[in-house]
Amino acid sequence: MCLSIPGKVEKIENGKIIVDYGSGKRTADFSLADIQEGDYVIVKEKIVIEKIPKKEAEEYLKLIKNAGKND
Amino acid sequence: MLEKMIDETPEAVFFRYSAGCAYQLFNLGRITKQDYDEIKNFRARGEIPDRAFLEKVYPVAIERIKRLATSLGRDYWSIEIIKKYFLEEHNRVIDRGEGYYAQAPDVIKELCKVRVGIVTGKEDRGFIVYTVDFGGREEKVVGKYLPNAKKGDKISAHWKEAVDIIR
Repeated sequence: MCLSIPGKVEKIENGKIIVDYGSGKRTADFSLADIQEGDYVIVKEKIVIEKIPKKEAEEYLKLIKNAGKND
Repeated sequence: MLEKMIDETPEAVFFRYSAGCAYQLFNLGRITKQDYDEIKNFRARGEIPDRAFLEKVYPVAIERIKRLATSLGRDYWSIEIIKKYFLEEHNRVIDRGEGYYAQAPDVIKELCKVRVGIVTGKEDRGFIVYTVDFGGREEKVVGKYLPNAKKGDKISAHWKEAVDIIR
C-alpha cells in the first residue's frame, strides 16, 4: 500500500530506508532516488518515487494537520 | 488479482483517478479512518468499491462530475465524463486555489494534479515503474494499476501513479 504523503527519512539501514510518517514507520527501497537521512520522500509500493524539498514538505504536513483540526 | 483495478468500467476509472487523494481526505477530516482503511483494503485486493461507497467517500468530486454531466446532457457515471472531469476540471480546481489548495506548497499541488506525459521507459520491479516525460522533465511513475502502457504512449498520472492511457 502506498502513502500519498511525504515521510521523513529517519535512517538508512541495510540498503533500505526507514521512513517516519509520525503515525508510524515504514521501510522502503531508495534505489530510484539519491536519498540522505532527514530528506522527505513520497513512497509508492515501498519504493521512493519522489524527494520533496524539506521546507515544502514540512509546510504541507503542518497545513493538513491544522486543516484537519479546523474541520 | 489486479484485473478489476485495470478494468475500464466507470467505477474502476474513477477509483484509479481518485484513490491517490484518499490520504489527503483522511488527514483533512473529510473521510473517516474506517473509510480510509477500506480504500486501502480495496487497493490491496485489487478490487473496486461500488458506486454507493465511492459517492459517500468522494462527494465533492462526484458533485462536480454530476454538474459536468448535466451540462453535457450525460449520465455522470460515464467513463467519458469521469475522464473529462479529471483531465480538465480537476486541475482547474487546484489552480483556482479552492479549499486547502490556497495554502498548499506548489510541489504538492503538482502532485495533486492529474498530469499527462509520454512513457519513455518501463521497468519491472515486481510491479511496473514507468519513466514519463512531463513536458521535458522525466519522472518515475508507478504503474501497478496501469501496467499495459508502452514506450511512446501518452498516459495520465495522479500522485505519481499511472492512471490511464490517453488515446
